Amino acid sequence: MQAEAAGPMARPAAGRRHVLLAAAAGVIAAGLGVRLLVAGRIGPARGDAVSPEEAARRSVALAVHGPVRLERVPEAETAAALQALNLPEVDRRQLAQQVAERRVPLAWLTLYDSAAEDGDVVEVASGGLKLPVLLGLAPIRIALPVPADGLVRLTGLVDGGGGGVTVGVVTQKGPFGLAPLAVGESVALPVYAPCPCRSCSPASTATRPC
Amino acid sequence: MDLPVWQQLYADLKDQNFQIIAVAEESRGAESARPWIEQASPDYLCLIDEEHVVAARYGMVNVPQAVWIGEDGRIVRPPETAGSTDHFRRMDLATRTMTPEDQKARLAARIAYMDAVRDWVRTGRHALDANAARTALPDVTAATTAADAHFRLGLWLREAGRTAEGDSHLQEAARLHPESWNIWRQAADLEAVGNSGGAAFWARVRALGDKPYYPPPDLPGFPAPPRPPQ
Repeated sequence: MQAEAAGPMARPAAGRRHVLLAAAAGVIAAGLGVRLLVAGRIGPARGDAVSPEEAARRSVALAVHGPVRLERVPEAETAAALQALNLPEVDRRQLAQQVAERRVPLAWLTLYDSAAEDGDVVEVASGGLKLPVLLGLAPIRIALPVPADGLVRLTGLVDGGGGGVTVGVVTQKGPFGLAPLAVGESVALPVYAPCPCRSCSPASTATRPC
Repeated sequence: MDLPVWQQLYADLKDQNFQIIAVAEESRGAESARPWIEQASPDYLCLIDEEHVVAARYGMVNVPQAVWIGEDGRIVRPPETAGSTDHFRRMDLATRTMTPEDQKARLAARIAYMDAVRDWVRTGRHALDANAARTALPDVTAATTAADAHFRLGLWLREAGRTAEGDSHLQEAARLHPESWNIWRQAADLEAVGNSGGAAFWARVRALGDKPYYPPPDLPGFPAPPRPPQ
């Protein structure tokens, strides 16, 4: 739109535009993210719109990405990490005991909504634990028991605004959008969480504490 | 609001003398923000603001917030929530889900905001006159200015490896400017990505009581704030 100004002094200079200056968080994103306004590709304002071509690209990209490296949760952060899981108390105690007895290591998994933040919910299953996670543009970090089979299973629970449950995973290579999941559809995310101790090989994919 | 949504808006309006400038408030460094932007491949401008300079100068205290600037370079709407609402506060934290009604309200807010932007660009509606815009701008006080200074000093100290000293300045910044969720959340995420959305975040949100986390903009069709959870 070209604005009509009252006089020459008020007339916009040639090339002036309406400007919308938007602050986003990269993390600050409902994962502060920067939450930069982050995520995704061209999409609709009213829900997720990942094109079939993009979905296919994402499926292939997952295959070539390889296992996602997870960082182990430091012992000092274990209690807070478990508390943040919002598990039923009995489950929390059970998991805490397993961790304390060094039978199961915990590792961080960071998820986000890789398209529109429209209320998508994914179920994360790992090491016997199942958690619903509401996806936002800001990455959300959750502590999970490292799965013995090396697979974290992600299942679409709620497709908030249509277009599928658009899960994104933050890996060491950066944010990584998965192909949209239908409600009830699952994808297995290969992961590994090497032990940080000096005794173990950096390449170790051991799933138990050493 | 997210990059794909802005992209859609930009695609709709780019031929009508419209520009979006998205600013990533990301103090962990440009490289932390770069992958997100590259993945989205936006056609509009994206800036990475490591020291939150844009937020400080425009009085932005949360994300997403947006400022509308007219063709004459004048702010015609102050920093305000860009399509988000407080309905997330009623989320069931055990299941991490929201009711269909609350999800519907969130979607309605987003649509109302986007429609208002389109309306502004095409017709000029919703732009405030100079006096109203000036009145609506957030106050710059000694406390907010000091908070910005502490924030940047904290970042510098952390960058220099003096983490504890840096964190104390970041905490002081958050204390001086408690309305700035940007400062608090950025400081939390400097420790580890995701901290800003964790238990401490929710405790801080609960402490708001009847105060809004996302004050609703005065735009047509924007849903009323939800009743805070008890």
